Amino acid sequence: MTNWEPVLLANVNRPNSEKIDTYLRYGGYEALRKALKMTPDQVTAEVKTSEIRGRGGAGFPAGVKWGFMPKDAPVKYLAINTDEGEPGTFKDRLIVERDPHSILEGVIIASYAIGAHRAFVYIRGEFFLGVKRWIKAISDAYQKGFLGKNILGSGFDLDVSVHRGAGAYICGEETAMLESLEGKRGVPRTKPPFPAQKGFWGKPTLVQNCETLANIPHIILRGGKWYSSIGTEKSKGMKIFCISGHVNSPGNFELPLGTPLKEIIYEHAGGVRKGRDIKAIIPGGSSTPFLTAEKINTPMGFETLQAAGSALGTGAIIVMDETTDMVEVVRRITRFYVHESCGYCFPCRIGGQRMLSSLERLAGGKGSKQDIEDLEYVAKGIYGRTFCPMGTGMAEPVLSGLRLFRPEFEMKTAKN
Amino acid sequence: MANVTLKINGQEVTVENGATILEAAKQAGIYIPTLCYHPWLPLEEACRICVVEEVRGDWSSLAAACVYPVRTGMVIETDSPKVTEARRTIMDLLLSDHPNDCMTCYATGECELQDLAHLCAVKATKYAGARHQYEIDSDPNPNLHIDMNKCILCRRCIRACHDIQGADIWTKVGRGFDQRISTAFDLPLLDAGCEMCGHCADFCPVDAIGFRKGRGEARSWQLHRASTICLQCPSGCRAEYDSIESKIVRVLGDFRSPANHGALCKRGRFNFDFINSPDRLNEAATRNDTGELDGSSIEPALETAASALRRIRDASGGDAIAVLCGGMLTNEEYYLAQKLARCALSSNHIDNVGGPWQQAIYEGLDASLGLGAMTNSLNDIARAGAILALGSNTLENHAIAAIRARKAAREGAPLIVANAARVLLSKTANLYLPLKEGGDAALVLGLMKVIVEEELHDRKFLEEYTQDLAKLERSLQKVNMAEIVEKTGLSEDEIRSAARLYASRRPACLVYGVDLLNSPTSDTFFKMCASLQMLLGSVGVVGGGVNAMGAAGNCQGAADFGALPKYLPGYRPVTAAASRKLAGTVWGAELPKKAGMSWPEMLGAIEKGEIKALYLIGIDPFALGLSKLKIEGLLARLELLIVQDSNRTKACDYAHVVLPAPTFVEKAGTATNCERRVQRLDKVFAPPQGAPSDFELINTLLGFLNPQLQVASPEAAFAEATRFMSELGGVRPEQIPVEGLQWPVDSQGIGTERLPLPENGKNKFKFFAARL
Repeated sequence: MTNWEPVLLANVNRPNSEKIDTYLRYGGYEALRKALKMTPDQVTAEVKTSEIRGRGGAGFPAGVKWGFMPKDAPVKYLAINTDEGEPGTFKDRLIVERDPHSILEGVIIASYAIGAHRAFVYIRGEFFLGVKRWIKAISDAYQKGFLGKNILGSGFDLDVSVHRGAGAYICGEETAMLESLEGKRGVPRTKPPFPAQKGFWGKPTLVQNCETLANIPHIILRGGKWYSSIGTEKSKGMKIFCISGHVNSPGNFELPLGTPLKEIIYEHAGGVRKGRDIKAIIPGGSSTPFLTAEKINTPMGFETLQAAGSALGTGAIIVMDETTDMVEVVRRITRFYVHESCGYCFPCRIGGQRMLSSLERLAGGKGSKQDIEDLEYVAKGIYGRTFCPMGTGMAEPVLSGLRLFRPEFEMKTAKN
Repeated sequence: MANVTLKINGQEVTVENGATILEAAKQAGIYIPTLCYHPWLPLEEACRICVVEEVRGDWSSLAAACVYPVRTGMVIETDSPKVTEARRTIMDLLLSDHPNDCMTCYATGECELQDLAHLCAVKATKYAGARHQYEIDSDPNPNLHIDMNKCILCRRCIRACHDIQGADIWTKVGRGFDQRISTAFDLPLLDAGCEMCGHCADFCPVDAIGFRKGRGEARSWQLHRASTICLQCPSGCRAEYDSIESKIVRVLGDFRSPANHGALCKRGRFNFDFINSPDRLNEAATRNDTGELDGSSIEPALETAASALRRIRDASGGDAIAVLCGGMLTNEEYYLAQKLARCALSSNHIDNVGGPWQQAIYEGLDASLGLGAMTNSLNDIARAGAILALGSNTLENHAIAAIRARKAAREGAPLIVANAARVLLSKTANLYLPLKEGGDAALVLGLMKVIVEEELHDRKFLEEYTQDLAKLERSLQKVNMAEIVEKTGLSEDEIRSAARLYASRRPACLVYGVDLLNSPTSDTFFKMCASLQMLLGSVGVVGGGVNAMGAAGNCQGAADFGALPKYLPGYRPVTAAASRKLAGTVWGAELPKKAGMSWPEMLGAIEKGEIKALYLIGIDPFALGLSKLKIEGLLARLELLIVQDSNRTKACDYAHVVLPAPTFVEKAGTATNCERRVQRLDKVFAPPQGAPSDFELINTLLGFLNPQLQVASPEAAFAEATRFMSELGGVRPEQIPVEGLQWPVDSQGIGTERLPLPENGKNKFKFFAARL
């Protein structure tokens, strides 16, 4: 087992880790001091050098995204996505609750780099503790002069405020989040224009996941080169993997990208319960396709998982042992997405319900061959054809479930 | 803008950069089916029916054509297997939650969902599972039939309600599969504040929100559709009338006229029962010796009318005769009516219901700005920087101006509504001023006083484009704020903050709708309106202007075509020898030299016995806002009352001759809306029993009185009128395009959307001394 010195989770287990004094005692806000002495372009260049990719699920290179922000726009915003809702994912919550200042420092540095003087934290409404910690962190940062006017004498101003979501998964999608932040119904927007062109209140806006931002201080302190030395060819840096399901010790583990799935499950998460075999693994949150046990040696990186037929997503690994009823798994995941469909576009709105009906019949032993056909037909009809990526996320588990475990579905119809 | 060349179905297409794939395909004549898309609504991009395949080498993706912008070198397939399959899936899914009862559905034959199902060859599917069950006809309102089981959630209704009407009544409730269209708190429509414009039903692609009328009566293919201009208010909206056996069942917006761009108001949409009413007059009548009305055929009735008119004219002179027209005649009819009065009856006592105001608008604005009507276009109101709405209850009486104002307000224009009543438009207003009745003139003065005092005016504009500012400034100093406060019923603070708000964004747009009951009829008021706008540099520019709208349907046309006591067609003063000389040349008749009486004066003269004969054309004297008792007394005094109307009114009880006339949908001719737009009316269907039009009735009457004055046809009347009206640039009615033509028209036949700025320091806008 490789032992890596944690970077993102270095503080979380310290007593009073959420307090600003603790954060400062262990070198907190040093990166900010350094960044403010650099030019904004230098900061962005450093982030580009690090080759860090967004940790919210889509994996878009963060430095490139920063570079999209127009230089001459008078008003720009930063929006911090803490609306962590993908089933199986619980990494952002940990950082927010235990080390909010590490994100906040990243927020200030990112705002400085893109020239934003206003940043908004959008946090999932159910994160009650997280909301408290965010607010406390921000007010403490104001007191210490890390926020507000003329931060650390640099002449740079920044205000940050916290906004709570009202319980919709779709609000984690960046444009739906912006709509919600504006006080509207959380429905994705048409893209283009992308938020970097027209975001919050129509102004250029950088939307960034909080794990991504928590990486920024380390990149600034230790350099982009250091960061890009960790990981695989196309997946750089440290990543928090959330492991749940049939493992002996579920939880968050910070490891370099590219760590093999097998190592994470068996060495870090203590192996499968009761020593059973693995039937299926979801490697990146419930919207990523299943992997079977034979893919266990796949390194956890963007490109490697894609080659294996799935995706890194949020890095949330859900392990299912040999006793798992895959039809039931697909039904449960689908039920989640159908419940969370915003209803905006037709395929997701009606298609989801139709898939769920078929799955309910199948899981309940009342399904027929026709249900399997319908399920596949509708899932294909949704995949890649919806207004936002959620429809695809809804179809993925169904399609990969059918692809990998079709006999299980057919078994269910045997009686009928 | 740069051009972009792409390939659609192998065909090369070059379009402007920024166009969507759908627009490019349309240009190339390639059909892409759509469902939630509507060319007059904001994009929704929800249905995914319009997806097309974008081929990039050996892979391809699906893009929504309605929103996806074109790129150079793009390769698009609109009918590939991938596209067809995607469309079929959507249709499959849609039909799986739809009643599919096309056999009895009102929309059958015109339903967009049905057409698409046919196009994609998709049948109602077999999917078992959840279906929506909503109450059929779930809302008790009088006009719209709601059956949300049929709703496909394209949300056009929401977009129409928001973007066109600005009422925001419809909204989406719930999410995912349970999303539905409803109102706030699921209130019944009228309780939720619905303004009953009917746009939602007009835009509904299925029959989820449909019209009540005609339901169960007609199938879509039995309906006869014809387009004409609505004359129920001065907006001049073009509308499509669906009728069955000469009975109107519904009215839809016609997008071709820029006056309304498909929008209609409650009145235009739903007030058509008078056309099919049992109260329609269908035969002429004359009063016999015993005082009873006897039915008669039209010709003898007209002959009776003519001889009675002749008798009174010869005995008491033309001054004893007055002609009063309603607001729903055609330009040609107004023209003929005034010709009858002036030439055949030797009387200048010719007016129309909106005449006194139209005359004031003309005189005020012509003196100040050189254009005696609404300076800008209705569309311009939507582009205003700030809006002041005065006069009528705008949403009720001048709805198009009101919804355009709301559109500007949504874009950030401060909207100020000053009215004695808390009118509906004030709901959208940033500032509502509870103005004392009749306080409009004082308010305008007060605003100007503040603007000048606080130097909120546009100096550069004033210097370059206006004259006599000093006159106004001097007179404003004498205006006493205390008096303004007293007359407006507003505090000085309110007036000051209103002035600051109104001056805060340019162009400022003044919207004034005449209210028949309490609008001032003075030209000074409109001069002051022009002055206010000039101070703010908002005349002669897009989105600004004095947008004065008259009292009734075609009262702009009535004034333009001479149905005013003081003016011949083209606003030639009858008191001027030159005008009478021209009339002599054109008509071969000598006109009385004195200006005639306006209708309020006529009523006074009837009371005094000076006017003995009254010819009412399409007007109910009991609807003038005066007491019933007074009108009864006046009508009883008349020696001769001729009532020519489409419907039986109480005036018929006092008439000596009654003549049946068609309604506006049964007429052909032209009409001019408040924005000077001359538009053509076409018959939706023939009047009952082929009854003659007002034009033919007046013309026959002319034949009995002096056949030389007759005009062969409405077209000939229009041509004759243009000899007086240089504003029309000699255009012939058949040359008027479907979108109409706004006068002044130049020699090339090009109209004027809005009053231009004075050029080369000539004809500068003029200030007048402020007077209350």
